[in-house]
Amino acid sequence: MEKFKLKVFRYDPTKDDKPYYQTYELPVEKGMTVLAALFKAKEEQDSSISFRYNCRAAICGSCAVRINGHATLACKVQVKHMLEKYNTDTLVIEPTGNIKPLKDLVYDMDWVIDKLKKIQPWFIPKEEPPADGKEYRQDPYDHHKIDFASDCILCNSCMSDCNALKANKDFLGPMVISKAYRFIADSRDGAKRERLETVLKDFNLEWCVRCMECTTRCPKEVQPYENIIRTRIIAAEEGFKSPGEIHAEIFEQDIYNRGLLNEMLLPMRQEGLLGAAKRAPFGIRMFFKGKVNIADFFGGHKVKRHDEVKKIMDKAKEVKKNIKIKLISDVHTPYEDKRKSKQGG
Amino acid sequence: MLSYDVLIVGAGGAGLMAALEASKAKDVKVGVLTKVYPTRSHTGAAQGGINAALANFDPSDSPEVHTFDTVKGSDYLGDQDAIEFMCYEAPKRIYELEHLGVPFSRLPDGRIAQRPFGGAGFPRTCYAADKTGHVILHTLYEQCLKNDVEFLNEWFVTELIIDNNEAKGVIAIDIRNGEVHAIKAKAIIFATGGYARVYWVRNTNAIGSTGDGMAICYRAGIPLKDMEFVQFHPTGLRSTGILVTEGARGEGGYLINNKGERFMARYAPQKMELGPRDLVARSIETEILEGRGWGEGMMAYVHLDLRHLGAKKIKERLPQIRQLCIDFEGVDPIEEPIPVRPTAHYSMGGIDVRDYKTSMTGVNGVFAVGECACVSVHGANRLGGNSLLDLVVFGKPAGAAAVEYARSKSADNFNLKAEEDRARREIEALLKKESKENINNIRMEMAQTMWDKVGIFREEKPMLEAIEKIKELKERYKLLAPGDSGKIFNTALINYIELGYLLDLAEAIAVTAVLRKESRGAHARRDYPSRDDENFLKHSLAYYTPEGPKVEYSEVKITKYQPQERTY
Repeated sequence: MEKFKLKVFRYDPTKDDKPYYQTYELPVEKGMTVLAALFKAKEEQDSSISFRYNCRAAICGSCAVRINGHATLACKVQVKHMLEKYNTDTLVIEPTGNIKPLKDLVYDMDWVIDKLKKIQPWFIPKEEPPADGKEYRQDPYDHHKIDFASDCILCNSCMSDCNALKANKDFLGPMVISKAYRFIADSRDGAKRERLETVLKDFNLEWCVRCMECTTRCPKEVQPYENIIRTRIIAAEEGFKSPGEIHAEIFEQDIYNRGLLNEMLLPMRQEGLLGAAKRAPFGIRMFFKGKVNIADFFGGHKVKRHDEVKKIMDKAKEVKKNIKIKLISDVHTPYEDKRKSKQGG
Repeated sequence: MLSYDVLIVGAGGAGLMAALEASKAKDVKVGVLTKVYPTRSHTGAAQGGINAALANFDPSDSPEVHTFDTVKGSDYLGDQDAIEFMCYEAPKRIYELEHLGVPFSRLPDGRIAQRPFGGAGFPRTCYAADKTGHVILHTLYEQCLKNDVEFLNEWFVTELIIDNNEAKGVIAIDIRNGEVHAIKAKAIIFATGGYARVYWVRNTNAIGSTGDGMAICYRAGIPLKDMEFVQFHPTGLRSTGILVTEGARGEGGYLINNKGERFMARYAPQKMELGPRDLVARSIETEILEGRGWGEGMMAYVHLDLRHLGAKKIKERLPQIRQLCIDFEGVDPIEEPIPVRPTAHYSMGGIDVRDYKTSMTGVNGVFAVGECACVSVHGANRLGGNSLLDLVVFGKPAGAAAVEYARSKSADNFNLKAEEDRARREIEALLKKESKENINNIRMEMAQTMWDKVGIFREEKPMLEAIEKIKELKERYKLLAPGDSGKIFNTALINYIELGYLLDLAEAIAVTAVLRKESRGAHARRDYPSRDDENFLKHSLAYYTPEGPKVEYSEVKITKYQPQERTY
């Protein structure tokens, strides 16, 4: 029978100075998930391997690990598919990234729960329940806004592969902001502004570098990245002036008023005179490279047929009023399809 | 020494509901101990929904009809006063969950949506898409965080300490550092889930559903009730046992044996693949037993073939089932038939609860709720949508009752320290132990024995053989060692102790099953094919003895509904 190598990250802080890798050779069996392979290695070769597990059906969120560098639920992927995907005979199994490993594949979940607690991850009703004691009414559309976000199983796959979290451990991270979105977008919840203030603090929404790793890694199609963006949109709608929002507003005004961006005045409008002064050396260098149009200091020029740009934007604003947050309808593209399209492309 | 007024063991739906209720009392110290993180509990896997006669979909539904459906579904073995309590409480608990934030699916007018489920007279099942248990579990956990409930995550209970018929505390291992602790508690609520893992790979349950609380209470002298009743589902995936829902057959899937026959023609020529769950399960099992399946022993299976539906229909109508097969079985139903086999699903039996209003057992201060408890509201067979209901309806009053009980007790001088020292020495000895025996061999032999001889079909002789085999396995277990001497996250030690629990429970199931000489609900005997109300309209109670379970019986509470034949 065909064999493969399961190379497992090992670390016991009571015994080891630093982590090491141990390789177990196993048969490639049809139907064998990576979690099943870990169990096979544990039961037949080395009972000291520690990893978390419970439902083995992708709903409890225990078994997130990195397989060949990318986070996923060990129970939800086939050994065979992974070997094909990476075109290899070795699967390297490591604990989730960005979170401290405690032993082998087990990571520090408390660190994540402490982060979660910062956003008050619990329902705070807007009003007293109806007098008859029955349910709060919620429009099916409003329900749909939180439906996919409440699929989150707290598995930390998104946290593991988040590039912003890698750079800044204080960043709340995609799972936590996505969880905040689940409540912010709940039509029954009464703490929207408070929650927004929390996620806006320390530029948490803006720390997201939009790499979309979180959404790519999420095993439940929760769309953490989109939920961060949705939260930013809601914050803007609620009148919060974050740097990103101010930046976007200036863009919008410029395009509307001139049809193109005035990069000369942008820093001043965004950050004030003092802020802009800090960028002066950069501006001077740009000037000598011929990248700066002095006329822009005095308002600059408009694009040709600017009235048409205006018309388009007016129309877009009108249409936007009727657009609700866009939802992806096909949230269940089978993994196989994604894999094939990747190989083909 | 850690000390609580109320200690809850297990943090699934029932445990968290009890914790949430208990945490409202600010004068009482509440702790929740769980071997996984709360949101990893098996409650999260419940998909379908939770029953309550809200009459949102059909105004003629009522708690009374719900009561009758449940009594009938239980094959008249459920206690009717408890069932009535559950069904009348149901709407209140659903509204409470909604007020706590559970994102239920909605009707166009904004009320909670309801859908039809097996064995129910009306569309009564409230749901949140296909993740009802998941959202309830997460919402309850969130509310517990809000109430600042103290959690002992990744702790594992090994013993219940009782003195003079009164709860004193538990012995537990902190999985993170391997320390053995005695935890003092005036009131202890067990909410540790079911025992379907006695069938190991042939079951739908989480790997951790090893019946811990049941075995712990059983060993401490509390009887287990109606253990012979295990619900089986006809179609689980071959490798993992994960459920393939009825939807696949509903859309026109064929069940095929190794001769290429649609064998349901033999068993249900009219309904074919759409026959009732138990009939389909028995039919598949018969095909396998008579050699018309594929594979051997525990891994034998038949095919659920969807290919004739075509790629378009499968993608449109069954995308989740297709995804499930690709992820967990490595089979794309568009290209290949799905290997399926019957699989153990739910434990009707459990810790004997004496008072359904408080969920207290026969021991003062020891309570049991959820799948690990047997009230009994599910009797010989549980209806879909009633398990989540059981958790929230009985979890809440149990939390309140435990608080009341703890308030009534003053501190005592029971020497828990001595128990702690003894337990620590025992665990240390275990870690030093060495053995050539492999845990997986014993576990698979247990599962195979239970499946073949105390599974879907039951008969006296094989069951007696099973009891002997379990006894032999228990002897071999004594020689087994955990195989890892590490202190932190020693999951081999946990798996070792869990197997000990399962072996005790397997024995209780087999012994009570032999003694019940009738067929009722999920308990189907070939040698006694009909129900026998005269002799067996009663609950079995298995008491632990070192030689094996001692079985007694107790009355079934019948109030309004006299037993009738159960037909659908």
